[in-house]
Amino acid sequence: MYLQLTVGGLLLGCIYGLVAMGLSLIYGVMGIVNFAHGAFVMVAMYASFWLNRFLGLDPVLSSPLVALLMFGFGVIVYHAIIGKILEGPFLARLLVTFGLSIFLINCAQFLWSPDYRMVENPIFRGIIMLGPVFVEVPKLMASIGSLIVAGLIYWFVRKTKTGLAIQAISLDRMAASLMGIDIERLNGYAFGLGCACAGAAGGFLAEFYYIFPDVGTMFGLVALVAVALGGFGSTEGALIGAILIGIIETVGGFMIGSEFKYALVFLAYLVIVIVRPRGLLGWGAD
Amino acid sequence: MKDVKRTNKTLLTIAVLASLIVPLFIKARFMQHILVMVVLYAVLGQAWNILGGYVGLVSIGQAAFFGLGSYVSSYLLVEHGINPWVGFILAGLITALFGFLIGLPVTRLRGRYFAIATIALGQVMKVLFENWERVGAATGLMLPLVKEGLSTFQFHTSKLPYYYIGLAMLGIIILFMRYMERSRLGYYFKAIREDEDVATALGINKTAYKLIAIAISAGITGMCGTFLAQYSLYVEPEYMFNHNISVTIALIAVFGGTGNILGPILGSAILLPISELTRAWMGSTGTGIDMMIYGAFIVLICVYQPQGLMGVVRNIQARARAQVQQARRGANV
Repeated sequence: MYLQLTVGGLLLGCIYGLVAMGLSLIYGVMGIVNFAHGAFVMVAMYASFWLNRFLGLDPVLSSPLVALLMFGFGVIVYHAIIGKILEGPFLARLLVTFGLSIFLINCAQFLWSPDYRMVENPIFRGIIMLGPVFVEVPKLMASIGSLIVAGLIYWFVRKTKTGLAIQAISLDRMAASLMGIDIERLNGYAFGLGCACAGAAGGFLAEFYYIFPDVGTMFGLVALVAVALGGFGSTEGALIGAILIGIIETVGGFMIGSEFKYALVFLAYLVIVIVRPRGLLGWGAD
Repeated sequence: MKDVKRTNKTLLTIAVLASLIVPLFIKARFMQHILVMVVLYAVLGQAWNILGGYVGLVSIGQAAFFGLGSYVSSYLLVEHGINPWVGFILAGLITALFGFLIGLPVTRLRGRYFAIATIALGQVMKVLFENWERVGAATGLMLPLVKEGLSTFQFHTSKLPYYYIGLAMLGIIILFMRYMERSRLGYYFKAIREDEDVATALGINKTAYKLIAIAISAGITGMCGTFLAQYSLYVEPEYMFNHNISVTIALIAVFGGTGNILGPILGSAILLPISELTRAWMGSTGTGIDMMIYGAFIVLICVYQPQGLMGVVRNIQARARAQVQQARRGANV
């Protein structure tokens, strides 16, 4: 039983991990805690839904396209809003993404009503046996996809020239700018990349999850907790933190009742952050 | 300088008299409702300000204290028939104690870690109350309708008594903050905000003062919770622990400007009418367009007015002063 639950938690954690990595990337590069990240996931889920409805594309298969769309969306959001307040006071930087989140969620409600929707006839469905445990196929596909995207991000940030420049900005913005790195443009790319993570995750989730305007909020908050657990600015930490949360949520939810599972997740955050104020793998200033 | 002081005093007198007298001529219930909300959120903004503006601990989970306070008095009233005024005081004391206990671990966190911890706290409280059968779980509690009057803390014919109670709360908290600004407490708070480590090195017990700040802030916020419970005569988790309450409180502080007394009052006086009017105008359609405007408004404020209204006022003052100086210099030559 516990093996079954742990595997379930692991799969869930991988999807959280994808959302959390985007969040952590954005934070690491420009110091913005993106409270609108959950709303981005929601936007991506609706994008997948409409692609499915009008073009007949399966959400899992269309997720690269959605990720690309979200990349563009993220770049626009960066240049329209985020880039303008990077030098602003702490509180404004904290609240601006709250506003964005409220705006996007209610925009979705206005455009598409608060109804619950679901993708019809997804390709991946049903349950298979993997050894001793039952695994839901869409969740398995989603977590494999998440890990592939996570690997791609890792490769991009570590091995490509653009990725190295992004890393340079997160280490020392001033020095990076003196080395001739165009900070504005690369910040835009980094923000877009973070959104693309949310986009891919939204695509995978749309395969098996209900879609409604408020769907992203919990994903965003859980991802935030995962990032804090892993340590702000560490993408690997975010993935580890997210998997940990997935397991805590599933196993703990089974033990004390599923209505309390998010309370448990937040309690875990409080405990871990108090023991290790900068998260498991965190570095840098407050 | 004397002139400035005198004009300030005149302005203050006018403002106080206006806030006392003008509402008497407002008969429309909805306008009265807006007035009540403005004073309520001004008090909430001040409570936030003590913690966020003076000590520098940014909380986005004030709804946790707010909701707890509303439930304390409502539970005592519904289950034990205890007078809401007693509940009002008890709500303040219990939430202050709660803030203190929560503060023991949480005030060790800094910056955004503290902010996220407060968000987490707000969510945990909401989930707990949604599942707590004793206090009505997700449906909450209905307060009994009794004869109106100051002793029962219920008024049906007019909303103005609520306004004056809120105004009295605001007056008391302003007096307290004026005293605090000039006392050792206020200086210690500001020292911790400016640089924790230096403050500690100078012998300030930062943990103790942070705990004092969070207890005061939580206590006042809890009393505001009782106020809203008595005003709307019901409490439910989705309403009292709503995350938007926390965001609105923080937003008022950003918009008005933090670390001074006037900021939250200005912020509330401008923001709340806008938010209530858009809600009344478009909220009933249920399409979410009012919240859409609200969200866009937050973004615009943060992008174009991140220093808050007090920042604007200060800029104008500085410019005026520079002009006066220039004029004087010209006269001397």
